[in-house]
Amino acid sequence: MSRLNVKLGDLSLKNPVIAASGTFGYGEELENFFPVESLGAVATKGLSLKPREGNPMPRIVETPSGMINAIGLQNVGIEAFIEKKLPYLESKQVVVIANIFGNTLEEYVEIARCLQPTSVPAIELNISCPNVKAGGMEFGNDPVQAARVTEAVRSVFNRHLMVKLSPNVTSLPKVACAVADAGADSLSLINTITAMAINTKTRKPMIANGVGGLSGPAIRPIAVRMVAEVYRSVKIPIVGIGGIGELNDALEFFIAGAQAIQIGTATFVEPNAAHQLVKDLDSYLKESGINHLKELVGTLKWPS
Amino acid sequence: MKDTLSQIVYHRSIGNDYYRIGLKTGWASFQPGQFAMLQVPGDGGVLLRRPFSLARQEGEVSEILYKAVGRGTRNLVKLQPGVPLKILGPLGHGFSSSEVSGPRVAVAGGYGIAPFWEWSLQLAKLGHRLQIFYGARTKTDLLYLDELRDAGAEVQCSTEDGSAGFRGLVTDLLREQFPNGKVGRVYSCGPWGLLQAVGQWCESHSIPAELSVEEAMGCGTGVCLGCVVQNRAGKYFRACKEGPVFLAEQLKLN
Ligand SMILES: Cc1cc2nc3c(=O)[nH]c(=O)nc-3n(C[C@H](O)[C@H](O)[C@H](O)COP(=O)(O)OP(=O)(O)OC[C@H]3O[C@@H](n4cnc5c(N)ncnc54)[C@H](O)[C@@H]3O)c2cc1C
Ligand SMILES: Cc1cc2nc3c(=O)[nH]c(=O)nc-3n(C[C@H](O)[C@H](O)[C@H](O)COP(=O)(O)O)c2cc1C
Ligand code: FES
Repeated sequence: MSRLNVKLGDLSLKNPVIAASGTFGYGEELENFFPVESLGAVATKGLSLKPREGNPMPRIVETPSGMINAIGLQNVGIEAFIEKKLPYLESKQVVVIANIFGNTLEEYVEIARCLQPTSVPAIELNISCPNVKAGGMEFGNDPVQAARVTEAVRSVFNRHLMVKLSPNVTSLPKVACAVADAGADSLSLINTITAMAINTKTRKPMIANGVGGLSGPAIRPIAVRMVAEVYRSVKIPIVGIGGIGELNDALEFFIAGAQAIQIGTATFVEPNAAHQLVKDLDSYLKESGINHLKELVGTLKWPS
Repeated sequence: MKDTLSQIVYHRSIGNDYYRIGLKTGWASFQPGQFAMLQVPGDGGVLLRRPFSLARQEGEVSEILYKAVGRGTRNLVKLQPGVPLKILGPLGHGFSSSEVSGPRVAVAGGYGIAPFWEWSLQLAKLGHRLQIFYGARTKTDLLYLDELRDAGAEVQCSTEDGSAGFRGLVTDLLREQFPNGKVGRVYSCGPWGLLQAVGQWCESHSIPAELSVEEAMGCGTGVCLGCVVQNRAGKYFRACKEGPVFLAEQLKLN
């Protein structure tokens, strides 16, 4: 399937389909359904410096064509990941993208430092997290903060650095440019959109945390628009995320400018979704007489 | 665990918004207490699959007993035999087949009766009789009574309004039957309030108990972390993977 291979800067993937963070565990959970190494890469559940138990229940609620989650970034912590989870992924020889987050800039740096001596070829920096030292505002909300954390991680990790952008900002292209200038090798977008659903009988939010992140087909049009806008503003590769389930969804993102895509919520509905998409993409290119996926990337015809 | 494109073999109303649906899955068997994630029609923006206990495996057909309560299940009601439906299962851990000294007792509430049909049959094959205590709001919420008796189980019912069996809560019926708590093992499935009461009663008599919990589920395969329950040390476990059946002592019951 050489028509599907991608190079995100220095990171080579055999195909453009990546399992999205928080929707694929640590890569072992779905081994009954398909070989994990058939994917371009796997983004791990968000990893923090110390293990986290996450939020109280209820943590998820379905909304029209989507779902809201506030899992609270439950994870085993960077140390246990490297010791207990990474060996499985290494044995499968799949490209691992370690998704990391912190509550302070120092935490991000410390986690990246832990990853530097491992085999992990890429970090995905989740900047949709509140910066406790800056009054709890999301790092990803402010181009200056976003650039600062990117630069800091860049200085301790010398392989691929992907920065995952939060859609909950006024101008995504501004954050994208700041992060690119600060040394990011690629950008992934979008993370979930902050949302709320209310139980009208109890007048309480449907999830314990109050607000959560919306994902699934409901956010796809917003994500496509954001990818198209960011593509016009930066030069580094873009990985598209948001409500992708099947072939046509993925094509929208490639046309908008993404070189690779991630599959999240769709895996909950169809455990096989990402694997199926690899096959469908290949057949599509073959049948359409397209020699390589890159011929499709960024071919959007904007209205003049 | 696999994802099967099944076909609806039968689908009938048994009154009061309850339905029995038979799906040709070709699955060999399951451990009672295990469940499946069933695709429901997408109209109205329904996205996720819905979790249901597996009630029975007969030949190639798996049965689910469900109540139409919301968007997804109301869409499901409309489907006729012959329609293909994806079903992912059997998932999670069911009731254990460990050795037991003393009566094996099941305590069910509402559609929580579902796993005990197959469980009665499997235990009967091993020469054991399941004593079922079954509570519901009213007479028409008591389901599978004939099936359970045919499966060799002994069934005692309670209803909140007294329209059938003991009037009151099923846990009161249980206390009345076993004042000294001389029970070998308890299996329970139903609303959280019931599981709490059963778990606490069992604890007070040092009876080992297995409780099947019901939590909202995103994936059923262990990847979303949306379905967790807490143990007594405050640590979270996935209902879809480590559960849905847990030992009572593993759960924070209050
Ligand atoms: C392990 C397990 C076994 C179950 N077994 C049965 C069974 O045998 N028979 C039966 O009738 N029901 C069973 N349920 C409950 C059943 O899953 C819900 O009634 C069903 O999902 C409701 O879907 P809906 O679209 O009609 O409701 P909606 O309220 O529209 O659903 C919205 C969302 O909330 C979730 N949800 C709503 N109610 C529940 C609930 N009570 N438990 C978990 N998630 C819920 C849905 O899955 C969906 O994602 C079981 C649940 C679990 C977790
Ligand atoms: C249950 C759940 C957990 C998630 N956890 C993380 C996480 O730990 N880190 C992260 O960067 N994104 C996380 N995400 C966001 C996804 O990776 C993805 O960006 C988002 O869901 C949009 O894609 P989708 O519509 O395909 O799901 C999570 C999403 C869901 C639904
Ligand atoms: S339902 Fe997704 S982890 Fe249990």
